[in-house]
Amino acid sequence: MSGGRISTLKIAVGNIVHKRFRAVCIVLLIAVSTLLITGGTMLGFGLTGGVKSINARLGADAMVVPRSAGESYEGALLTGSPSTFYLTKGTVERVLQTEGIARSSPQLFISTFDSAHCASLVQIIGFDPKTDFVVTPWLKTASVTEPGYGEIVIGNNVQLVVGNKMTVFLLELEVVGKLDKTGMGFDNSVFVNMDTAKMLLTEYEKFDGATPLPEGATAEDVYSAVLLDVEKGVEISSVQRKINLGFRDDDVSCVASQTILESTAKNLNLVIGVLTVLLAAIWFFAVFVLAIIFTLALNERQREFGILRAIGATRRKLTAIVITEASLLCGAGALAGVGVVCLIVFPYSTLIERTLKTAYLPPQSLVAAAILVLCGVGCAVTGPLASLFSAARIAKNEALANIQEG
Amino acid sequence: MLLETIDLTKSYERRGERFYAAYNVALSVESDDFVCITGQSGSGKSTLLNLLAGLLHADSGSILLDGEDLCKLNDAGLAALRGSKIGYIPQGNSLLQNFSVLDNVCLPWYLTRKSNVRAQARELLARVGIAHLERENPASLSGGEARRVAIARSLIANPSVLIADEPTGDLDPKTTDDIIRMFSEVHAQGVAVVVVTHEREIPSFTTKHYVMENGHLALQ
Ligand SMILES: Nc1ncnc2c1ncn2[C@@H]1O[C@H](COP(=O)(O)OP(=O)(O)O)[C@@H](O)[C@H]1O
Ligand SMILES: [Mg+2]
Repeated sequence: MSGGRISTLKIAVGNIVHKRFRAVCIVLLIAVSTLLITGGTMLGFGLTGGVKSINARLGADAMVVPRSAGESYEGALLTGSPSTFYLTKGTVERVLQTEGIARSSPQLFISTFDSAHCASLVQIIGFDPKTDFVVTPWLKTASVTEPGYGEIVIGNNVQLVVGNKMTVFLLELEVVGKLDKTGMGFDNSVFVNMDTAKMLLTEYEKFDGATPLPEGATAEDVYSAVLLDVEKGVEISSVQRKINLGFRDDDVSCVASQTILESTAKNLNLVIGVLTVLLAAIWFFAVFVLAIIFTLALNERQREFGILRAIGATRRKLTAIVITEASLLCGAGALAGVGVVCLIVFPYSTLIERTLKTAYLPPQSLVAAAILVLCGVGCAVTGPLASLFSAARIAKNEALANIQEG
Repeated sequence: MLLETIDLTKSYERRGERFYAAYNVALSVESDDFVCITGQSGSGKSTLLNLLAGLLHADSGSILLDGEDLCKLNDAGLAALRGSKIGYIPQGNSLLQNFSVLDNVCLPWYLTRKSNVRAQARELLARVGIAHLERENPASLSGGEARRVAIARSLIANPSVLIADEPTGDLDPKTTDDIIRMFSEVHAQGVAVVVVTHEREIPSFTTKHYVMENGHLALQ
């Protein structure tokens, strides 16, 4: 030890080592706070990213699904939960006669979730390359070629790589592309062209006995959903109303993408609000508890500080010691917290997505790094901040001269 | 005159009543003095020493050290004095438990300066007869050993005056003799000594003996 500044550090470290239990408690407190605050912030960003992703991915103005599908179309969209619902071709053709529709493209859903003859549990989405205006752009941005007959393009969470084969209903389908992460159900989905989809649905029926199709219908006769864009200048809601009223007696429901987005966004705003308040509360709580700990410690350390003063320490030096100690402890805590976040949040982000049952797109690495650094620093400063109270007391407390024993 | 107080007064308040722990104190210390202060517990001896070391602010009066009035110095100025001209040994065991014996001795130096002082610290530990204990933790020392470390520490910056508050207070007679002898050696090296002690322990080479009673200091 030598030099003015080094003595501050050495005295601070000495005090920390000497009061190990207290040090461990403070480090734990800050580590847990940092974990919660950083993890919570990541979560907030992931949810926001999810909604932004929905916005970007809802390439169609509206979607026609069976009314009996209830809200399960939303599940298919947001979490990729199993959806098997079907509209007959006849109905679809009639619906598409509705005025104001600019373009449309059918999709066919098949779920392998409940079949023993599939290697993995995925939602298969069949699209029609001839009319499609939603899936094709995604393929383009991911530089993926259109899947041919018997080929599949997989969502980002599907644990396969291009060139692998996926067994579906005992058929081997080759993976020809993998999509970018969306944070939505599409990450757990598999995309095929309409011919493949019909073939798979036929196979499904063979294996499953009980057909999920409407009575008398074959795979050739059905679609699961039809994506719509309305004509320029036509209100989406008016087309939606026309369909919902005009086909009241059929099992048909038209859902506007905006509705899905709005309800999700509204929930999200609430969640983000609560999250923000909660995280701020945790931060203030940490500062508050630390301030109490440091103040109590100060009382206990009157004599120690008195002695330091008696041998030549200025009050400013004592203040520096207290603040250095707090900074070291909280710095270590924040570092530990951020470390745990890295260990937990990143490897398990897929699990988190699944658990959340909503669109979740974790921040990109650069943003994530910025969050880690800012939250880490934000939590590390709780120490010096809380120690300012004790520092102020040192500055004005004459009793520090009172170095009677005890 | 090395150290002199003029009408030095310090009062405290207890249960709304003001009382004087030091009242119009006149103390004078020449550079070759060995000053003993005795007095009952609670008579204000520690208060006086704390005032001399600039740890307490006086209500009124002045303290002159080498002609400089301590009462006019700020905190940093006083701290600098305690790290140089004044060697102060607080009452009781005043070693910092977080540091080794050697580091304890070095500390006053490091608090104000940047150069290394270990060699001098070792020399001082040898002078007070405990060179072999430099790596120990203060908690493992006996009362007499701890007092020797405190003496070594107070001398690290070559002070012109050593102020010690009951340095033999809790020691057995044999150890008390050893410590007193150590003070006499320090005194012989040309350091003025001001020590609060018991009536029966006043050494023969004392040059001035003050008695404190209810905040009043009188030369015996
Ligand atoms: N900070 C303080 N506030 C109030 N009273 C004090 C304070 N410090 C000392 N005293 C009182 O001042 C008197 C002198 O104390 P002190 O100088 O410690 O006496 P001594 O060292 O002679 O035993 C005692 O009555 C003591 O209780
Ligand atoms: Mg006393």
